[in-house]
Parts: sequence; C-alpha cells; structure tokens
Amino acid sequence: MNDYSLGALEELILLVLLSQGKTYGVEIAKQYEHHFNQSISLPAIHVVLKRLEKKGFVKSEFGEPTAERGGRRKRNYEATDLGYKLAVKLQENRNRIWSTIPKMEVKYATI
Amino acid sequence: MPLSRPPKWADKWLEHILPIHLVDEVMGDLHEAYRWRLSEKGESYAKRMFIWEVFRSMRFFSQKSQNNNQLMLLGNYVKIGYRFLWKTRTYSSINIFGLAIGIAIAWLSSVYVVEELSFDRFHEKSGRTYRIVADLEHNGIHKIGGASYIMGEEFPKQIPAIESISRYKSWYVLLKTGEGTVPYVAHRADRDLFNILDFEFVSGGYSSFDNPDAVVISESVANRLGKESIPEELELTTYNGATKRYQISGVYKDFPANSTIRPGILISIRHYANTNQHRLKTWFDINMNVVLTLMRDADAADVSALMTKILLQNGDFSGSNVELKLQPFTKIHTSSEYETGNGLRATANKELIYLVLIIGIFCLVISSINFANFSVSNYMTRMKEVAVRKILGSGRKRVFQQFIVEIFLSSSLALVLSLVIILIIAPLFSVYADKSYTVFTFLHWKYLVVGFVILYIVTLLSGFYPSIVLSGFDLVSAIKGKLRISSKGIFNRSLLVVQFALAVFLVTGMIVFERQLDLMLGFDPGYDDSGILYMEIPDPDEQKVDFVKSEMLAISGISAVTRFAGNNNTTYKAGETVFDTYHNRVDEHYIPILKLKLTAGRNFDPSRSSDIAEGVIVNESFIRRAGLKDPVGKRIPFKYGDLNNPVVIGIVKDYHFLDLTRQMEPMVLYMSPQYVYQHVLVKSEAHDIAFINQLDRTWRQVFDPFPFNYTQLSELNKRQYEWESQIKELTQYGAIIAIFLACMGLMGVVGTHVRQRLKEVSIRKVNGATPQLIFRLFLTRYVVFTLVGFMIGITGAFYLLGSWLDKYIVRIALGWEISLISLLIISVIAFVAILSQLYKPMYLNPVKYLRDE
Repeated sequence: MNDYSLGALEELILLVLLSQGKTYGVEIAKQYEHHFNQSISLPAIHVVLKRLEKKGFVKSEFGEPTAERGGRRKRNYEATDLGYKLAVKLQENRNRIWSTIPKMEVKYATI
Repeated sequence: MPLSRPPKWADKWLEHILPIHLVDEVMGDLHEAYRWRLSEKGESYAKRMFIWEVFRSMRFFSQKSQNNNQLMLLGNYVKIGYRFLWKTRTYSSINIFGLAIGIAIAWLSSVYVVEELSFDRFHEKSGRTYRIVADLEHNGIHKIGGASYIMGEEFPKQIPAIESISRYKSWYVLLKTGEGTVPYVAHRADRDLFNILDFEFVSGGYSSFDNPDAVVISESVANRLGKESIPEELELTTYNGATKRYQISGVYKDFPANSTIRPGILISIRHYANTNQHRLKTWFDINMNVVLTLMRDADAADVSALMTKILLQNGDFSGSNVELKLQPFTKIHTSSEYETGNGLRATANKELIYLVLIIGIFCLVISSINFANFSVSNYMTRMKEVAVRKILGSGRKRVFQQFIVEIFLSSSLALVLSLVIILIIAPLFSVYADKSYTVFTFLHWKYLVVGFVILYIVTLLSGFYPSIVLSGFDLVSAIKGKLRISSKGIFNRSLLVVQFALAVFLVTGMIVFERQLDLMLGFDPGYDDSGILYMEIPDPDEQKVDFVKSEMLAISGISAVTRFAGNNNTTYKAGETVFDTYHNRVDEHYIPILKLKLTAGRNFDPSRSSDIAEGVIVNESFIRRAGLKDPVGKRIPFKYGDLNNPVVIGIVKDYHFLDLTRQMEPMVLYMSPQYVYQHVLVKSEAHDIAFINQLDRTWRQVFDPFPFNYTQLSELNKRQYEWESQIKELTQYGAIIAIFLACMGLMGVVGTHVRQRLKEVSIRKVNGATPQLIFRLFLTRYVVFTLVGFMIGITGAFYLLGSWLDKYIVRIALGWEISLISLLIISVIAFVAILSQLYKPMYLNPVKYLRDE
C-alpha cells in the first residue's frame, strides 16, 4: 500500500468519489468548486480519473444519456475497495504526522 | 431566446481530436458543464471556459493516433504492395529500373540547373552587388563589359548610395611555386572587395592590404607555395621581367566552384596605379571591372543614371551615345550580353542550361508515362482483389489511396536505384560539364530535397492514371474477370504519342546539331590551317621577336614563320561612309602561310620601305563596304595611329577570321608598327617530339623564364565550336536515353495488348492465320501512333531548331533529308521493340491458350 502515492488533486477527487458514491465528471467539478470555491477544468478531472482508474482505485461504467449532454452518455466513476483503503491509509498517515505538530503558540502567532 | 450553445468551431475541433472511446464522456461532460456554467455565471464565462477545456483536451489526441484506422490501413497497403512487387519481381524491376533512369537523369539535370542558377548567390550581399558596364551607341550598339580606373575612384565620392566599391583587374605574372615557376593570373583590387564578397580568412587578414608590397592569397595558392606551413612571402615575376618578393598578409578560404570571381592572389589596386600613371585619368579607358554594393534602399537605375551623368560631365562623347549600366552580380554568370574578363569568368550558357532542363523533364515525363502504363497492366491482375475490397466496403477513395501508396513505394525504390545510377554516370557528367559532381553532391540536403520533389512529381504524374483506372472499374465484370484495359482509350494513345514526339524531338536535335557541327568544322574558312602551330608572345620586345623568328627558321622542318598583332577594331570614315573595320598588323609571311588568295595587287614586300610605312592589304568586304572601285595603288582615307591615308597594295579574298556565327567583316592588314606583335604562327611538316623540343629550346633561349606553350591552329579553330559540340554531345545522350525509355514504354503497351488477346490469336491461328497475318494485325495500330508522334515531334523540333540555326552564316537546311533519317531511326527502333513483343503471338502454340475452355 505504501508503494502507492497520489497527487493532491488525485487524492481530492478520490475523496469526492468516496463521499458521493457513483458520480461523473461534471458533478465532481461542481463538488470541487463547492468545497474549494475555485473553478477547475474538466479535462484536468478526466485525466485524473483515467489515471486513478489505471491504478485501480476507481472503476467506471457508462451511464444514461441526457438531453443537456447532447444525447451523449455519462461515464460514472466509483471508488474501489482499494481506493477506500488507500484513502484511509493516507488519512492515518496524515493524522499521525498531525499529532506530532505542537499546538499553535506564540512563536507562530507573532509572525 | 434561442438556446445558447458552445462555439461550433470548438465543438468540431473537439470531435476531431478526441479518440472515439472518449467522445461520449468528454464531449458530454463539456456540454453539460457549459449549461451549468451558463446558468451560474453567464454565457461569456461558459464560452471562455468551454474553449479553454477544448484546448486542454488536446492531450487526448495522442491516444487517438495510436490506434488510428488510417494508419493501420497504410501499414496494410505497404505490406500488400511489397508482396505484390515481390510476386511480380521481374516485371516490376524492369518497371522500376526504367523509372530510375528517368529520375536519375532528371535529378542530375536539376542539380546542374540549380547549381548554375544559384551561381554567386552565396555572398551575403550578392542581391545588391552590381558590376558597371557600358552601352556605347556608335555605328551600332556596343555592349562593353567593364569600366575604368577613375570610375572606381570618383563614383564612391560623388554617389552616396554606393556602400562599397572595388576595382578588379587581372595581373599576368609568373609565380614561383614549390614545383617551379608557372604562369599565373593574380588580381588587383580595392580594399572594399572584402566588404562586397564574403571572404573568410584562415590566417592574417586584409588590414595591411593597401600596402602595394603585400598580397593576400587563397588557401589553394598557399598549398602550392609550400607544403608544411604558410610561407611569409611569395615571389612574382612580371611580364617585363622584373622579379619581386611580396609579403603575404593573409590567407583566405577559396570560393566555391559556383563563383564567377575566384581570386588566388590579391594585391592592392595601388600597385597598378603606381606603374600605370598614364591610365588613371581617362574616364572611358575601359580596361578593368568595377563591382559595387549599393545601400539597402538604393535603386540601381537611379545610381546608373547618376553615373552616366558624371561620365558625360567628364568626357567628350559627341557623335555617340553612351550610357553606364549596373549589371546584377548574380546575372553575370548566365548573361552573354556583356563580355566578361579581368578575373570574372562567365561559363554558363543559358541555352545549354535550358537544354539540360528540357532533357531532364523529357526523360522524367517519358519514364513516368511508361511507369503509369506498366503499372496499369501489372495491376490488371489484381482486379479481383480490388473487387473484393470494394465488396467489403472500401470506397473508391480507399482503393485510390491504396494504389497511390503502392506507386509511392515503387517510386521510392526507383529513387534509391537512381542514386546507384547517378553513382555511375555522375563522374562522366562531371567531366562533360566541367563540374566536380560525386554521389555525395546529391546527398547534400539541398539536392535531397530536389530528389524528393522529383519523387513526388513522379508519384503524382504516374500514379493518378493507374489509380483512377483501377479504383473506378465496374465491380461485377471485375469479379467475373471479364475486364480488360482497352488500348482504344484516347488517353492511353495520346500518352504513347507524347512519348514518341519527345523522343523524335531529341533525335532530330541530335541529327541537326551533328550535321551543323560537321558543316562548320568542314567549312573552308578561306585559309589553310593545316600544319600550323600557334604561339603567344609573352614579351613583345620587337628585337626578341625578330631574333626568335630567325632562330626558328633555322630549325629544319619549319618552312615559314609569321608574326601578327591580332584582330583590333576601329572606325573607317570617308565622308558619308562610316563603318567599323577590323585591322591587324602582320608581316609579309602572313598571307602565304595561311594561303590567303590575293584577288588583285600583290603581297607586302619588306624591301620596299613604302610597304612597311603605308601599305595596306584589304579584304573584299572592306572594298564592298567602302564602295571603292579598283582601289589598288590608290590611297584610302583609313586612319589608325600613325597610319594615315595608306596605299592599297593588294586585295585579299574574304576569309573567316571570326567564327561562323559572325558575318564577314571588313579587314585591313598592314605592316606599319601601330601595334606590337603578340602572336606567332609556325608552319612545319613535322610535329614530332624532337621538333617540339627544339622549338622549346629556341623559345626559352629568348623568353626564359616564360614557358613554351603552343597549340595547333586547327585545334584552336575547333575550339571556337566547343559550345556547339557540347550541345551536340548532350543531345546525343539525351536522345539515346529518350529513345530507350520510349521503346520500353512501347514494349510495355504492346505486351499488355498482346497478353490480353492471346486467346483471340489462338483462335485465329486455329482457323489458319499465318504469323505474317498476326503480325500485321497488331502492327498497323502502332504504326499510326508512331507516325503521329513523329509528325508532332519533328514539327516542334524544326520550329525551334530553325530559329537556333538562323544565327549561323553557314547553316544546314532543315528538309526532308533530316526528317527521313530521324523517321528511319525511330521506326527501326520502334519496329524492333514491337517485334520483340509480337514474337510470342506469332509463334505461340494455340493449344496452350485454348485448353481451359
């Protein structure tokens, strides 16, 4: 598990997928903008999704076509068990490091 | 409100770049996101974002080409093409070989033409570099290729548009090299020459160029001087015998061969000024070249007009019209309008360049046509394959693509093969064209590009016809195997006719040039040049020349020696009668040695002092132009130097002292010393080594260190027609290759035709047709093609050659005789080519071809 590493955006999108369940590109973009209050380009999300899929952390299937997509099908993405485990692992690592950080004290506050 | 949509072009572009498996997802997402952003943040933001996202989607494009249908098909085409070539390897290799010859010839000729036309362009400022020339209107227009010393001195002071200017003049010296003393042509120039032309110094420089005791030399000269290191000095002997050492202040890289100006030793023009004080002030004393570079924004016409104005202010040109002009430096090479000399060498002839180009194009066209015909007949065996491909859903476009790819494959092979052919013929051509071509010349990127351009042209020329034929036939008949190429097609026929017309054109040219050259070489010029040796006098000291003459006469075998000054030009004026005449200082042996015929009067007699002082012998043309009647013994108003109103003592029959492109001109011969003797003719029966050695010893005794050089006068006369013999030779090769290629084409067409009719022939034979009947059956249709091609070719050839021949005084007639010879050559070769293909149907065993039915 430790062999896997994720980029920041990869990790965020994986988290979005875990929280949303089955979802697709535009929805992820909306979530991203909702959480971070900044815009993101869809191809960037697509590339990350493909990369995650290749690494085995997400899986995908075609969904229903809708009119606003010009009759084109969605591709729905879902985190795999492996993806879940990785997210847990990353969060644990983070927590462990976080616990060693002293409480913010005067020396930071005065800066 | 109409529904807002993403920009159409971006949408199209997106569709184009996306691989098929991503179209639904990415395009769908982008469109959905567009709607979402449209509702949240407005149209312009949504559009901007959409375009940006399309742009970002370009990264998916790389995935697209990896599993591209077209690319896979291309691979398939190449594979099938390769298999087919291998299957029909005999037939295909003949086909490819024929094309390779065409490509090789076209390549060779285009390299030659490119090289000739790119002459002198390698100098950075060549585009605004010019040479001063003059047009003098005085009894006709004289084009003078040169300028004077003072022009190079004054023009840069008075004309601000001149950036740099340099005089350039030859200086004949003897150069002491590691292997003895040799005659050498050095050049005098101004310091500005180094700014006009791109000199690259390997050592030293031109900083001390203005010192008249210093020289700069080229690398090749440096190598001749000393093998190990560059020497510091070199020793030159001038033609008045003075020997002096000059300091070498710089060594530069030799200019490449495609340069009009290639100095080996350069010395300051001041060196000339110091020894020729009397020639520095006359404005129209034209004896050198002046080259100049104009400012970037200057107009050459304005500058030359200003030059003319300055010239007219400084000289008296009443009675004549004079105009100075600027000849573009890059035009000198191919222009024959103005003479070149004094270190400028124009070697190219436009007509020769065009001829090379024409031959190249002809050969390429003929072999491309061959290739097309060959390919069609070769591919006919694949009608079923095409039919199957079409049934499986490939459209006409795909089949067309397939054959284009295959033809490209074959022509690429031909290109490689043509390199091998060039490897063989390039050295021969180099010798012929006086160039140093090797196969590496052609591998230079510039000429590789030329090669590929030719390749593309060939593929287009020869690929379209078969591809269209093959991609367009009727499916059902093809799959039944019923289709055959009709030899009745207008297109097919006219191709054959074109080929023959081109071949006939070159063959006729070959015959005409051959005959014209024979005529000129065999033409009686009015004098006898047999057994005469020609020598140039290096030192015009009259006593030395007299001495050498008497010494030579003592050598056994020499029957006569004559000295003469050479042809010069002046104007004859007698009242209203004004014309230009040649004149030549000779001695009393000139007329007998050359066996000139005196029609009236007598030869010079040196025992009469009046003959030497004021006797002239004129030719018949002179009498005619001057309108004199019975002039012998009378004075004529001819004036040259001290020779004033001389007495005509004889009239000599017209003889061609000029080459045969020139009209017979008036000539005045005299003994009066208005010119120094510069040439010697020696008449002798024997020309063996012992004799030449004896002559050599005598010569050196007087003129040492100048080496002894001689030429047969008849050889010298032949050299006048060097250009004509070059053209003759070139057309000869061109014609042979063209005939060869055209016959290959004919054989291909006849062969295809024959193969398709084998069954018919077999039935005819069973019914009693004799070989002769079969022969006639096939032959008649090809006779027509050949004849039509012949008519077109010979008409074109006669039309063009007729105007070319017009410039000669003696010219052959273009009549039925030449047509007949050309027809004979073409028809014999065509007949053999056809017969070789008809042999099969004439003598086949009918059983063999009828058995399967």
